[in-house]
Amino acid sequence: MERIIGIDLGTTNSGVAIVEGGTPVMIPNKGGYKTTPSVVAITDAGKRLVGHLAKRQALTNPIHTVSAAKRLIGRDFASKITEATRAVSPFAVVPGPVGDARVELHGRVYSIPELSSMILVEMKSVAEAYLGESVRKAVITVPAYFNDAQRQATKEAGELAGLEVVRMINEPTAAALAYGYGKDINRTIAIYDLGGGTFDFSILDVSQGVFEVLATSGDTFLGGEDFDNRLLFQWLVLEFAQEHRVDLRQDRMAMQRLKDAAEKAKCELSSARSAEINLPFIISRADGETLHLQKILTRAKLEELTSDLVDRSLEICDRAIRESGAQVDEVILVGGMTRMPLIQERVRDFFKKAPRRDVHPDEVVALGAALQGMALAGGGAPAVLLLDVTPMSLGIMIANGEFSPLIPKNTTVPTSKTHIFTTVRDLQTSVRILVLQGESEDATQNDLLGEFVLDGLRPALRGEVELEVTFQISADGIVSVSARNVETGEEQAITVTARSGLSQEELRRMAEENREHLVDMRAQERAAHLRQRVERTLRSMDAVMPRVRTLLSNNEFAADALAKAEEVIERARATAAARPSADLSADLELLERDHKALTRTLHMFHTVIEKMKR
Amino acid sequence: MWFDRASAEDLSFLAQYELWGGVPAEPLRLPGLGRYGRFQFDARALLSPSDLTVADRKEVIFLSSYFHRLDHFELLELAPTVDLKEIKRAYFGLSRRLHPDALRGRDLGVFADAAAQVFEYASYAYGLLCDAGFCAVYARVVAARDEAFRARLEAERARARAAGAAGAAGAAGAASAAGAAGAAGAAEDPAAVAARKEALRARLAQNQARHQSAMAGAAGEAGAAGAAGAEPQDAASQARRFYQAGVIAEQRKQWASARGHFKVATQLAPRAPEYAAALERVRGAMAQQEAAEVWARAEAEEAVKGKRAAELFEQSLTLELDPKRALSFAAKCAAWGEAARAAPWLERAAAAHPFNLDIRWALAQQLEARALFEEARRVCAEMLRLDPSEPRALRLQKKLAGASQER
Repeated sequence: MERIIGIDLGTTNSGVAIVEGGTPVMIPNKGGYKTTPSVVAITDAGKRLVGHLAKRQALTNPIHTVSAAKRLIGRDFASKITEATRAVSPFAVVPGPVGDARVELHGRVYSIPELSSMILVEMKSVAEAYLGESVRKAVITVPAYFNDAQRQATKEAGELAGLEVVRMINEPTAAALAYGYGKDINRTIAIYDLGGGTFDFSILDVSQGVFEVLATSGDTFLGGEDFDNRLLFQWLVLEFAQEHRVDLRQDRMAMQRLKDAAEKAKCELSSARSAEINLPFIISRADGETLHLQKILTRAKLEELTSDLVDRSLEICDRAIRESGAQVDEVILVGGMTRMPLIQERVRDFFKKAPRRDVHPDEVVALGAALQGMALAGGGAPAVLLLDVTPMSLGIMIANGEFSPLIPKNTTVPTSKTHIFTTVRDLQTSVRILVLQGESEDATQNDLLGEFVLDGLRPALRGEVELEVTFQISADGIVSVSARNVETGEEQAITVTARSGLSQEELRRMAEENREHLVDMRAQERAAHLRQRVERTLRSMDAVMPRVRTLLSNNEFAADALAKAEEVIERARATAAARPSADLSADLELLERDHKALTRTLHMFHTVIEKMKR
Repeated sequence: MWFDRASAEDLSFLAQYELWGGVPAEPLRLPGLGRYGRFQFDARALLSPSDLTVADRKEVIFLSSYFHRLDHFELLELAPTVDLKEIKRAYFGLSRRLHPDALRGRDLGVFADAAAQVFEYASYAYGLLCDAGFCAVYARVVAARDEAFRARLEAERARARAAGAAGAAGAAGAASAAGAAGAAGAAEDPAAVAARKEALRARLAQNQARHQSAMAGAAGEAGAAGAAGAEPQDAASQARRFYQAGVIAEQRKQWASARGHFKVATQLAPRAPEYAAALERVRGAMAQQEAAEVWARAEAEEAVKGKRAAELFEQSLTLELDPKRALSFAAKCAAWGEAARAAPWLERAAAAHPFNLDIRWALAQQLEARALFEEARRVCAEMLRLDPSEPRALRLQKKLAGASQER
């Protein structure tokens, strides 16, 4: 039986663990630390440094030191998130050949998976030094809310590091595994995982050694880094500028020192009430005067600066709990950020129970990965079994720019789903299928995973040629798509263009241009879908109407509008309630007309309410 | 019908789901039998090399061949329940045995695909049952179906008992058991049969009426109960819906479900030839499928030298008179030294496939072997009528002519 190690590839710190004699243990690195900073640097001599060594020289070599590369993994250069990272990172982020974000160090452009693989190689060598044998297989953790592109890129990083990635599991799930392993528990647990770069929230049911994820939610751009950046940009830099009229952001080295100091102060404040930031000779002014930075940061100030970030995380928790309808028995805090007293307090208030303190927030994820590695190594019945879910809905864009979800979020993986679509235009011989991930009804708001083209269709009237599209999500959360012509039964030639790295804007433009080449739902489904939407809008309308009536009761001009609105509502209600007639296209037209009118009216009412409020 | 005892609301709720959320027409498990009922396991598969335990093999074979005939509770080995804890326990138990991760690194042999399919289907069923709204309705409908089935079973048993009694004590018992005692009086046996038929017909009509009113009720609830004129239109559209669901099931080769849907469609719209044709088609397909299954089982039985092999082969041929199988059966019979056993099958196959020369050839050979020369000559003549230059027939004819001259 071959060893499978577990690697927690974190934004700021990474760890590696293995199961020994039935107990998962962290493997310490050469310096004796159980976690290694996720920092990579290239020195002026062209030497590659990883971990503590890289972090230590970051001060003197800021522009060739990459930290928090995970925030860029699987991202497009043009995306907002990349832009935000560029604004705060000392190293140079450049566009790659397919529009992805890359990093340039000493004139060489590195892809993000390449940088991540350097960290993985380091973790692998730590494990090999400890075990005294070579390691080829690993379970790697990813944030639960990672999309397909980010997962693909992480898997790629593993392969570049010479590791067979047996499985990628979600970080909160891994934490739950480590927590529940070896305990005979039968309850629902919630994992609040606020790490260096990402926030994840998962709810799991644990019994009989089976860990079933009920719901997962998160934000891949909310973590300790954001807390640091708040301190840095909204306080230290700002105050310094006000005091000395000097913009510290000009000086990369000063920023690096400042960043380290801010992070340290933040950590100190987890136990102390105030922390001192003392950075002598931080910058020289143009007139030659040397300035020092000396400040006292209180816990109250930190909390004031960052409490909205905590709010954001709790909103995500709230949504997930409401959607799953689960009763949480226990709350577990994972990730270094959860040491912050404010977070512990707010989490306790939110869940109305104290979070568990018997898990190590920095190590639990790697330990869970090691446990899953053991379970997947085979040989006898596994001690743990994971039933994980997909965090985002998966679907395609259909003719009118709408997103048609095929696999809803929180579906247990692995899963597959087949659906039949039809052509939208007479004599259409090719279709283009855009595969997306996200929750918005408007396709352009979701993440584009890829596109493929099917051609050589029989020229026919629209709606006549049917295509069967099959989506699969593997246990790793990676998506694959295939399509078949229903008529001929032929598997259609699929040309998957490589992830093209499109911005929202480009995606919108592409949707416009490709409208004719897209597919549509079958007429019946389309009618059912529209009917549902009309009903949903009617419900919101019913909720709004009493308010509108009272608001407009003494307004003569409004009476007419109100009467018209009621007419629209009645008509829509009748259309929605009517049984499908023989003439589907007429039904569709009616429904579409009513839906439009209804949405317009509802929008108008919302505007009215907003205006009256002011 | 399985939905006799379910309420109209529940039925219209389930109608939103594909294939009514999956309620097979009958419970598969008969009372008093174990998990697998009378299921016949393929001996070859059970003995084929695989790392699965025998218990898991049985589970996989059974579920993969019957999942379309099991309701979701039966699949998870549960009585109809709405207790999520219990459903979870059952599903988790199954997951620990059949989840791809639990089976990782083990050589499953011929079970690999079936195990994956079973787990996928179980997950689908579990997903549905986790929805509390669906589960409540589904449990009620399944319980109602089981109740209807149990009642039918009991009625049948009562009838069988009564028929047995009738043999001894006269016809009156049979008539009373048929529920038509008054009408039939102390009639003769044929009269009792007629009365029973009458009662059945009445029950069918009643069921239809009830079903239609249930549907109308559901439609009425949707707020659009139209004028009386809307009624036939309603039945027609209902029939169409059943038909469409049936077509989906048929495409997925879920024959039992397809047959059920088509049956209802033909009952709702008796004059639509399309529905009747579809029903016939599915019946044919089911017979074919079953024939193939039985044939495979027979071969397995033969491989382990089971006693029932010949019987099973014949059973398969009764279900579908496939010419190739008939020929193969004849060859097997010849090998066993029971050539005569195959004769009636060949005769029938010849009648069913009038243009198949091979069958006739086999028949002719066999007749000759059994010294039925007249018969053999007749078959030869038939073959030559189909193809005057058929060499085998010509040869045999010559031989037969020579033989008769010798005599």
